[in-house]
Amino acid sequence: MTNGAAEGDFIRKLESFGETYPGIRLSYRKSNSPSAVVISIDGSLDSNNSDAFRKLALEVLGLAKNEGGLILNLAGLRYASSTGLGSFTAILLEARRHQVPFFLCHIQPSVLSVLDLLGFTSFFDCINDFEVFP
Amino acid sequence: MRRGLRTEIRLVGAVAVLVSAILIAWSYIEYHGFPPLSYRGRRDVAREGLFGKIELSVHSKQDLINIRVHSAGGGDTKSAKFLIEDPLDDHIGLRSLVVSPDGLTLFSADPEHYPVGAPALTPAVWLRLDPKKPIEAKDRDGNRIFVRILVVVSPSGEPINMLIIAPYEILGKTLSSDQSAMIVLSLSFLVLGILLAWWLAHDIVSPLKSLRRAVAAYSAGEIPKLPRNVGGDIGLILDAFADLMSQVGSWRYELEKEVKSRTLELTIRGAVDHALANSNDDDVAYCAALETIVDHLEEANGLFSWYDGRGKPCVVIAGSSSLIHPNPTEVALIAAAAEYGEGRFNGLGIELRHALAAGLTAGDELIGTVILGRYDRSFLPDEKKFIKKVLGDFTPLVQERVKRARQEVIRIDAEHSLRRSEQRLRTFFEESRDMIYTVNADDVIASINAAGLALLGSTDRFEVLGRKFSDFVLSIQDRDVCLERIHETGFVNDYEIVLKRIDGSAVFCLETAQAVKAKDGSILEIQGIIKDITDRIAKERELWQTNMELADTNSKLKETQMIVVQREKLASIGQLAAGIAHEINNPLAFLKSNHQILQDFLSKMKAAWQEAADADPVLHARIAEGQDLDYVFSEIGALVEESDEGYRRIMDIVKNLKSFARVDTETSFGNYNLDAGIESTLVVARNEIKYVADVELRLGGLPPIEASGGEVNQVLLNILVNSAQAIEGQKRQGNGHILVETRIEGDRAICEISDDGPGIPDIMRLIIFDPFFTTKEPGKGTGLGLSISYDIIVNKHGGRLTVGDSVMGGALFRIELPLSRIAPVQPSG
Repeated sequence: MTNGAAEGDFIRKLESFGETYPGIRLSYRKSNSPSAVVISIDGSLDSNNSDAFRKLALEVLGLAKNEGGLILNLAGLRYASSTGLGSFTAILLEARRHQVPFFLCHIQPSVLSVLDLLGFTSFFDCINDFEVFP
Repeated sequence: MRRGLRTEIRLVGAVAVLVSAILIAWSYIEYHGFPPLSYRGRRDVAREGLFGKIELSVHSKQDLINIRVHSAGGGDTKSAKFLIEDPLDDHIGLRSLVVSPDGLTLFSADPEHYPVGAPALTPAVWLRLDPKKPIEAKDRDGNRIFVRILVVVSPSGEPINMLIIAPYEILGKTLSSDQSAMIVLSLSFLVLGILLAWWLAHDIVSPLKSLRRAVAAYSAGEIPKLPRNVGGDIGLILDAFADLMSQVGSWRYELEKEVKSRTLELTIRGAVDHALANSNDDDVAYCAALETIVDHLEEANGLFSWYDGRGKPCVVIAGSSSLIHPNPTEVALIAAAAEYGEGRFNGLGIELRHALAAGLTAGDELIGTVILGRYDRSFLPDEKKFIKKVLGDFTPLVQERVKRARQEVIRIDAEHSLRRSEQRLRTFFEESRDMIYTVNADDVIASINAAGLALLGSTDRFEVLGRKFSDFVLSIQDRDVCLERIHETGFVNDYEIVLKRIDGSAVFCLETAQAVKAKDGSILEIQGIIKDITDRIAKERELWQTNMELADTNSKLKETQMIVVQREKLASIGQLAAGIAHEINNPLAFLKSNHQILQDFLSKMKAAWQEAADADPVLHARIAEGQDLDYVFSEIGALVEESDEGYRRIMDIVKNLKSFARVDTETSFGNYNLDAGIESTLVVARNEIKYVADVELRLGGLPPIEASGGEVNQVLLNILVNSAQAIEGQKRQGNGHILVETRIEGDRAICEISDDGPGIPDIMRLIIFDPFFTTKEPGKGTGLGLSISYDIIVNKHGGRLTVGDSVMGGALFRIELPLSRIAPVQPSG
């Protein structure tokens, strides 16, 4: 499967994710500066949908590696359970294994507080904009 | 006083007053003609009076009186207007004029009217005299006079009021004897009238009144009792009416009895029908039916009881409305003895001389017994008949009652079950290990169990009740999301929420909740169960952290392993290079030596050949021509020079190999010339670079620095080879360009290697130094080159290695090395 076909297939899966799991909506875009794949999460990430999300996100790692990295935009994430945040950790591990830069951005305070309580904050490279290069 | 009596007295009084008035009027007419009239409206009168002709013009609406007095001889006429005052309130205006407050109004107002030298006046007739306020005045001469107002009648019969001013002696006369006699006569008639009225009231009006009361009572539905033998015609009428009323009363009693019986029957039927129609509330109607029966039997001092088929008293209502508990066995015996019988009965705690028992059956089943007892006499046949009819109507009600009684048993059992269930739920609520709570539609906590209080860190239930649930969550937004889901779907399942305890600490919890909704869909209450999953979260957190640490450790291990392998590889390469250099150097040394000896020998041979030519030119020429020795000797020089160049280049290669390998100083710091290191590295990398890029050196002539030269050379080699490979990957036309610059900045030696290749994306610059990161095809790179380079420069030398943009459009690697060795930096991981 070519990169373009894989990307189209992935976008379709992302767009239909919310139909399968009400309460969450995923969107996909590419960022040129920095060059990366950006997945935006709107809604809630909990035990009902986090496993499916993790699998979907892992699928994009190959695509993200070619684009330069993977960024999860959490600006619209209103609620995340520990399982949901655990899926981020699983994605992080896999991204490291595949040498794919992985970042979280625009984390809402409510999610950040849970992330901090779980002690996951130090795991992630968190950015609030795309100016990732110092 | 009753109204009738007052009427009679008024009647008699009116008769007496009428008679008296007739008598007085008669006497007045007899002496004076018509009575005077009070003035109303405008009236003009005139009379020849005491002072001549007096004209009075009275207009009561204006409260004015105009008096014109003509002299007796027809002389001057005086006139004046006076305000009417009426202190006696007898509506005789003219007199009011005279009795003005000073009593002298007339005279003082117009002295000209004062009657000077008036003759004595004898009034013909007077009717009223005001004895209370005789007006005292004085004439011009100071004589004392009295003023009276008389109402007189003119000879022509016209009534007028006359102002009389006269000496007191004239007006001081009292009633005449005739008038007194008439008054006495009138009083006598008044007394006679009163006596007549009393007689009428006693002998005529009183019987009539009794008769009227009787008629009124009869009209009101009563049977009146009339006095008999009153006497007289009216008494006879009363006696006849009394007989009539007695007969009517008898008829009415019978009629009412029948109506009462029929009414009772209809009432009972209605009550039974109502009870059956409203079976959901039959007990009320049932009791009402019983009470209706008993109410009508109470007058006979009766007693009514009802028992179910087992002899158990269900309803016992006595005439006194008090409950009596009978002996069920006796009741049952009586009930079994006769379906419908009568006998003595003392099973109710009291002895009833006459008791009536009747069994109520549904099919063959005896479903109840009705006992009716009374003290005074036995039941009359009509009563038995009636009661039997009543019981017939009562049977369906009893059947229904039995059914209801059975349902009542079921209901009671259900209530017991419900109570037990409620108790179980209460125990479940209070004893649950998990928090159970309810909130109202506004998310205000309405109830919470002990586990919930403990979870929130409270011991006082009222510290929690009535507060918003969101007060006890770490993130209000999380609670809002939870409530939104409940509103949308009616429930949440395994919703993870972080509670905030009273002391501010956080607790990870799992909540399952559902909404209790009204018929219109609005939420009445939310019931939830919250489980503390802090331990689970802690374990998960430890697991994740362990995973991350293991991953890091594994990564570092791999990194270290690869570094070691790479170093060994590099070291092996270095050793190999050093060995090769050494092995080459040894034969090269004797080759070079031999070459030098051969060169010396050739020089000697060339000199000998020249001496031979001088000694025997012919032979020399012949030999030289035959062997072309002149050419040989001329080319030997060029060959030796080329060999020298070859030996020199081989020696340079060996030298650079030894310089690159630095086997002797690989793991130790020493003096290191960065510029020389760059040059020797370029020699090693020449084959990788020379076909893709031109290398430009701008070396700053740096002094030796304290460094591990071999490792720094590895760094330089990595960067230069990466740059060449990046340029090669562009598939460009012509060679690229690599610029190597060195200089001193402060206490650091700087080396910048830049190119005009594709450059490095921003996001990749964060991880470009991570171990195993590579963009090369599989098998072409280990992903360790830059990682090792970073480790050598930063960790081992305390320098810096950064990447940025080249002014030529490609990448720029900048190496900073301290001129003097500083303490090595521990790896940061």
